[in-house]
Amino acid sequence: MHDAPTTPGPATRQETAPQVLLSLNNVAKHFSVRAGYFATSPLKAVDGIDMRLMRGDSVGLVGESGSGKSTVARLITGLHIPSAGEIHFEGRPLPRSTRQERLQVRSEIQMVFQDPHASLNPRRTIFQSVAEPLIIHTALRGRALRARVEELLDLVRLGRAYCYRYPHELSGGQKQRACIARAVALHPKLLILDEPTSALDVSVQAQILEFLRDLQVRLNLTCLFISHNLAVVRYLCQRVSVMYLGRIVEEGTTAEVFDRPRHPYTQVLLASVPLPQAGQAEAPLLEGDVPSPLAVPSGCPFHPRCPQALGAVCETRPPALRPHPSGSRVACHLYDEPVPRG
Amino acid sequence: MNPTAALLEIDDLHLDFDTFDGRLRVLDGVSLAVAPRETVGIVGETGCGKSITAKSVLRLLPSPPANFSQGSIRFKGRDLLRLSEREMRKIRGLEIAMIFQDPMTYLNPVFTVGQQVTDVIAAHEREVGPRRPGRSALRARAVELLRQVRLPHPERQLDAYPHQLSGGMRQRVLIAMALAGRPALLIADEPTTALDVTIQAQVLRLIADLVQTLGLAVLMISHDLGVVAKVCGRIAVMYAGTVVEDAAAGAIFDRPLHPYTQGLLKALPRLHGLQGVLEGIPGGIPNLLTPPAGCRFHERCPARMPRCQGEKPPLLAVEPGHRVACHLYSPPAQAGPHA
Repeated sequence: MHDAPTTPGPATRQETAPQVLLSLNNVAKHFSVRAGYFATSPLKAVDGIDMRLMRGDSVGLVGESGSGKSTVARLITGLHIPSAGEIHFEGRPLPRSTRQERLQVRSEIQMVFQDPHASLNPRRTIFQSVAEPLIIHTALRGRALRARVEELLDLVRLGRAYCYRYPHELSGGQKQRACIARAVALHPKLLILDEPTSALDVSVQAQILEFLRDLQVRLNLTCLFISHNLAVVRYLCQRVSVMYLGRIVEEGTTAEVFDRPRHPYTQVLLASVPLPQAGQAEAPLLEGDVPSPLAVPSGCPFHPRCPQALGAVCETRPPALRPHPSGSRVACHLYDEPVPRG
Repeated sequence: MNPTAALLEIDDLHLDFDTFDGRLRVLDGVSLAVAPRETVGIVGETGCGKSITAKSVLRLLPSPPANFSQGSIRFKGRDLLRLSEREMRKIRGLEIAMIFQDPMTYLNPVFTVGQQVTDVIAAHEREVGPRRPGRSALRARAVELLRQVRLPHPERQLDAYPHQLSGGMRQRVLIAMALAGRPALLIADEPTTALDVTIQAQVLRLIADLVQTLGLAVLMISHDLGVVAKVCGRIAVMYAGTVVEDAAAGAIFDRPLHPYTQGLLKALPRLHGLQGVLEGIPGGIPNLLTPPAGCRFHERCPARMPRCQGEKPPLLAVEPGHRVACHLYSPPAQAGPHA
C-alpha cells in the first residue's frame, strides 16, 4: 500500500522502509464527560482527522487550547486509544496486538514534553533518567551504558559533566536538553515534541530551536512538533497542520500556509500573532471565544466566528479537507467550487 | 522624555531580598518614568526584575524579605516608599490599578462576577467619600464598567461565577475592576500570557483602545516583545535587575543599541519570510546571589571589553529619548584600565 517506487532512495530497503512512517485515517477521540449526576455528554477532542508523516519530515501541529493537538500526540504514543479510525505506524496498525510489539513500538515513538522540570524525576540523577530507556530496551550495562549516556549528553550539548547532577541543579534549558537526550537515546523513528520550548525564555529557546534543527538533520529524525507558537513551527517544520476544535482545517508546507493562508481561521490566527516591530497594521479580530469542545457548532465548527461565512452551507455541512491548487489541503466551503479567485 | 512631567518616576531603585542563602540584589538601580497618557512596556526574561518593579510601585512586596535600600518611586510628585499604609490604600486602585497574568487566581471562585465588581466599586467609594451608593447604583456602574471592557451581555454576566467565563472574559472582568477607581495609571503584568493568540489580540486591542478613550497611562510588563509592541509607545529592556535600554518602540526594534537587546531580537524566530540560523544568547541568566561584577551582562556579551568587568555602566542618553547602559556608548572612564 505504502510503497512509493517513484521516489528516489535505496531500493533495497523499500519493503522494510516505506516512505510513509505514520498515517492517521479519520481518527477520532471522544471522551465522555459527566453532565449532571447520571448523564454524560461526549467531548469530541479529536473529530476525524487525516494525517500523514513521511520519513524524515518534520511536521508542525498548531492550534489554540482545546483544538485537540495534544490529544493527537497522546493517540500516537498510545496513551489514548482512538474511539474511531485507524493509526498506522510503518504500515501496521497501532496499537499493536501483543505486549512484546507494544513495547517495541514504545522505543520507536518517543516524546518530549512541555515542562522539563515535571518530566524529570527530582530524586534521580541525569544519568539515571537518561539511562532508563536504555536499561529497559537494550542490553547495555556498566561501562558501555555509561559511555552511551555520556555520548548522548554530548550530543545534546549538555556535556558529560552533568551525568551526576540532579534536575534542580540544572536550568530550564539544560533540563530540556536532558529530556531530549533521553528521547533520542533509542534512535526513535518518530519523535513527538509537545510545546518543547514554551516554558523557556527567548534567548534559551533560540539555543534549543537551533540545536533541534541541527539534531533533526544529523539523526534524520521524523518529528511532530505540537505548538501554539507559530514562529517556532515556522522555524522547525517543513509542513504544518492547523487544528481547530478537533479537526484539521488547513495543511501544507509551512511556507505556503504561513505566507498564503487559505482558510479564514488560519488567516486570522496568523494575523493575531503580535510581531516584534513598531507601527503594525491593525489586523482583523476574531469575535468571541473558541467554543467548548462539549458543544461543537454544527457544520463547519468555525462558522460562528468566521468573517467569511457563506451562510447555510457552512452552518449545516462540515467541509472536507480537500486539495487546493497551491498544494495545500483546506477544509473550507469557500474553496468548494472552482470559484474565480480575487 | 521630560522628567518634570512624569506621572510615575522610578529613580535609582535598589531592592534587596534577605534570604537564608544571603542577600539578593533583585533590583540594582532601576530608573524609569511614565508620563501621563504614555504607554511604557518593560520587557525582559525570567528573573530580570520586571514584575518586581511593577509590584514595588504598588508596594505589594512583603517586607521582610523585601528591603528598599536606595532610590525612590515618585507618583505625582510623592514618594510612594515613604507613604503610610493608610495613604497607600488611597493610591491602590484609585490612582494606580494593576492587572495580573492569571485571571482565575485573582477572582474568587465562590462569588459571582457582579458581587466582586460591585465590592471593588463600593470599596473605592468608601475611600473617596462618606456617601454609600445604593445597590442599584452599584449594579448600574458595574454594568457600565463591563460594557466598557466589551464583555458580551454584561447584565447576564453579573450573575455568572468565574468558572463559567472563558480566560479572555475573566481578564476583561479584571480590567473592569481595575478601571473601577478611575486610575491614572494601569499596570499590566503579563496580562495576556495565559490567553490564546486570537484572544490575546482582542485583549491587547481593548487595552490600546482604553488608553485612547480614557487617557490612561499604562505600564505593561511582558516577556514577549511582540505583545509590548502592540500597545506601548516606549519600551524599557531589563536584564538582571537593571534597565539596560529605554527608547521609543520604533528605535528598540529598528536600532537596538545594547548588545542584550540586539541578542534578544535575533533570538526570535520569524513568522514570515526567510529565516537564517537562529542565534541564541550563550549562557544563562546570572544567579543574583553572586551576580557578575560590573555590567551584569558582560559574561554573555559578544562585545565585552575589559572595562565591563569592573565598572557598572550608567544608563545614559545617547540621543534624545534613547537611553542605554553600556560601555560601548558611554564616555571613557577616568579610572578605566584600558581607557
